[in-house]
Amino acid sequence: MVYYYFYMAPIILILFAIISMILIPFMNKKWIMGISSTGIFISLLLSMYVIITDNRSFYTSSDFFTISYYTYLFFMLFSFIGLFSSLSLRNVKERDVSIYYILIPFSLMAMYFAISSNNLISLFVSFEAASISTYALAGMPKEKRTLEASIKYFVIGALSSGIILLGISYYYISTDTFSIISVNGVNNFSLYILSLVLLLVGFGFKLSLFPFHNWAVDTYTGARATVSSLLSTASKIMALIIMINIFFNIQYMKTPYSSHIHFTTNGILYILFIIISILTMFYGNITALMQRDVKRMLAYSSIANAGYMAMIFSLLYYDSYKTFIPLIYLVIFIFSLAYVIMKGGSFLAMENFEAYSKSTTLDDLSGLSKRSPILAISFTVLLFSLAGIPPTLGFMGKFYLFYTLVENNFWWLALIGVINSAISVYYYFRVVMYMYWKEPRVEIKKDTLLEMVVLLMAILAVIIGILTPYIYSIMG
Amino acid sequence: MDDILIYGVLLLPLVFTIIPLFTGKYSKAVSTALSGLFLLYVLYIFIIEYNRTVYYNMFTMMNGISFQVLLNSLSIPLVLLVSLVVFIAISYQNKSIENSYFSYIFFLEFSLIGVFISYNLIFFYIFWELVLIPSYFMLGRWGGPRRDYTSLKFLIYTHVGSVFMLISIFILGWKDGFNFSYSAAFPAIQNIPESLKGIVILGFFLAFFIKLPSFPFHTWAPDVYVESPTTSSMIFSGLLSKMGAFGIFAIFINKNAMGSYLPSWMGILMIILGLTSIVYSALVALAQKDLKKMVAYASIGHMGFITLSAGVFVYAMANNLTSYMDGIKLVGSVGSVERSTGTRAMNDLGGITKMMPNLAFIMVGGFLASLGLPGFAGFISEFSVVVGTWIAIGFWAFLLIFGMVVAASYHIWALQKTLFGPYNNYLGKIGDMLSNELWPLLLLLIIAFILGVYPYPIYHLFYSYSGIIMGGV
Repeated sequence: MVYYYFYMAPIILILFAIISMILIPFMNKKWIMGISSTGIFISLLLSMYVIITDNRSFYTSSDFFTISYYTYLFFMLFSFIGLFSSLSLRNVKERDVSIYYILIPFSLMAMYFAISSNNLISLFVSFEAASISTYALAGMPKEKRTLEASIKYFVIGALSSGIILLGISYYYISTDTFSIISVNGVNNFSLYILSLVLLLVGFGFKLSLFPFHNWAVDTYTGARATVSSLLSTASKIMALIIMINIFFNIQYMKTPYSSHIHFTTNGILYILFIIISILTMFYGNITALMQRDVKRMLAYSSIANAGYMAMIFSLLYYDSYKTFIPLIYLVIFIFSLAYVIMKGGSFLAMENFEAYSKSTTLDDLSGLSKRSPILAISFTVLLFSLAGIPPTLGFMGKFYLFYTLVENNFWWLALIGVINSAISVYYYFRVVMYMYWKEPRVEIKKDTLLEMVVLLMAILAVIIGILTPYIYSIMG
Repeated sequence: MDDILIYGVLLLPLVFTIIPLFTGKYSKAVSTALSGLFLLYVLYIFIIEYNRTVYYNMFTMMNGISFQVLLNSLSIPLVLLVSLVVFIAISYQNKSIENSYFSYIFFLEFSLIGVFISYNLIFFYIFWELVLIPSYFMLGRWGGPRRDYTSLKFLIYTHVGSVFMLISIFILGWKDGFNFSYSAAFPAIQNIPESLKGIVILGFFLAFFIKLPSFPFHTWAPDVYVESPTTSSMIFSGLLSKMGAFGIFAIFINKNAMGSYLPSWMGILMIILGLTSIVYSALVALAQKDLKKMVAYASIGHMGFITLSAGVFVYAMANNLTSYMDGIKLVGSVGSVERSTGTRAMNDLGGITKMMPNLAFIMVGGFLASLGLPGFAGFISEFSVVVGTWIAIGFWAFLLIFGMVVAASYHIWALQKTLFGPYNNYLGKIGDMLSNELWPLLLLLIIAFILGVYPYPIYHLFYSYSGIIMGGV
């Protein structure tokens, strides 16, 4: 028993932090901030310790949750970005921000439970908990812009929850179970397909896949940059992992009429996923080309990145899709690690501008290299990483993703991904251009803590990028 | 050779990258000294390793991706060329530029040397992409008035080529179990289905021919060469295009790599592209008013010779075409000569010999070398390309001769318009070249002359390398 408690320590600790912040009255802002950041930081360290010491031997499962090595792998990412997001909340000028310090660890905990659920009921409950806390975060501080972002996010979120619930009920009707790891049989084939498609759509909203992406741009642009850094990374990766858990774990059924692969449920789903991922990539990249607001550009590029992530579902094509799960976790882990560091870091860099000038257009960034060389060089490294220039981490993430696709015969899909990656170079490098060889137009006040955070992200993007092959061979 | 020497070839420029940032107003002197010492170092390696092949596995990252280094008769001269051109460019540069400029040059040197010596496709690709970063900054921060447009155009053009190459590399690795060493990856082509083989070849083709630049993909080059500051232009035209040439000869037509899997029409295609580049660039250059732009097209023409020689090689298997790589040596040197003089004389057309005798000397020498006058290195390579083309395609070689005649005429014409004739008094009183501009270019001219009279040291290397290309080991 001691064994299990030890491995549950990260999540228990974060729970204690939340409870202490709620229950102990009259704490001032500094204390709340300290407890929140320290709690997240220690649980980050503990989950790293779990990952390093315990190479996939830890595994516990119940009717509701399967907690394993991979859960901590992704929880580490969530708490990593949560830590920096909560640290940079201190710039927010509002009378009572302590509630937001409570919401961040709460959403992290909910995300942890969401990615470890193996049952649609526990999945839905924890997914909602994670979503609702982020709705509130998006509306902070009280401004017209953030409120608009929050309301849009909330309405679309509520819609997607409805769709997910409908999907869950169809799922239950057609399979007589809520479990996603053990399905014994299907009563109604078409209802089963419908339920899976509804789940795809519902979680696709969260992942901002193409036809369901509209909220994402306005929310990421409208919300405070430090919140966007959490929303566009942790909450998206949560949706992705949930989708992987669902679609790579459940049992697919052949139709009564045909034994051909295209008439199985996964045959239908993989085509749907491929179409969606291609559209998402092209939509995100092409619209990002036209943006002059850097934050909005980052929002569109995060839609494009969702397209890259969704490409991994093409592996559903194979009958042996279940054997891919460890590989997929590994590839997606490296991609999401890159994504968290570079996208989170970029949004935190935006926070530097938000806090003082309220505007993040290219003109605001011009001549940044003269005003703040450290911020300019770190943001440049992050943009190189987003563009996928070696040897940064962003290149490695795309490298392993595309490599996995090519290895499994989807070379043409990888080709489309690579073309998109080439398109994206334009809008990332345009920002670099403005930062380095345009004259400064507006003054910004320097914020050393934020600068150091962005610098840290840039250093990580390079160092982990160089070490990725080692990480891959250790974990693979 | 000691392992430590190979490490030095790659890592010294990386160390040099940070030095100019901390040397204050002496950064130019320090950079010149460092690049000069590095040139001597590479020269030492060139001499002790003359015409030998050194293979060394530096470190293994993961199964199949290890940093393998190969120094052979193709890559050692190219490394020497890189260090020479960097040394010349840094010496030529005047002092009034930010220190970081020298850092970018050293970083570019590091990535270029990485491209030329790595023997693993993944590292080849990584270095190939790394080249973009310093060149983007060198072009964008210190470029001419249209630098925004040009730097993004350059970046996207070359990046698109590279990413297609990445997919080709993946497909190669896919068929041999994730091993990206040249010796393991390329034989895997025979396991690839026919339909994919075309994709693999196309990926490499795009990467190399865009970088070269060859005819249909050349439009980035005039912009970039014109908009860059002189020093960057020297490096871009002298070295960046050599990456494409290196790729073509080390990978594309090398029988040990992709050569034996190329379809036969690829040879014809390369001949057509090469001839088109030569004739087209000559005709376009004839119409240029801007001297620097003319020089840029001349450089595209030189690259046409490289494409042509590669095509002829595949198609006709002409063994006597051993000298094609000498064009690289030549264009590197002569291209820089032209470029620097070209920049200075760009707006000063008309009889400037009177005011600038030294410039006139260098410029006449450079232009004559560039049009392929006997006695300069260019003549030897162009002559052998002509012979090879004649053997390969017979009568149609007249197109090449036509291109060369036009090239000679626009060179001479440009000289006549700028250097000779009545002095354009509108220019006022202008000074001659500064000494830091004169002696690097003089050095290049002397090298081009020596290699024109006594080409053996370089020729012998490429002769033995052509044996490797034909399938020897």
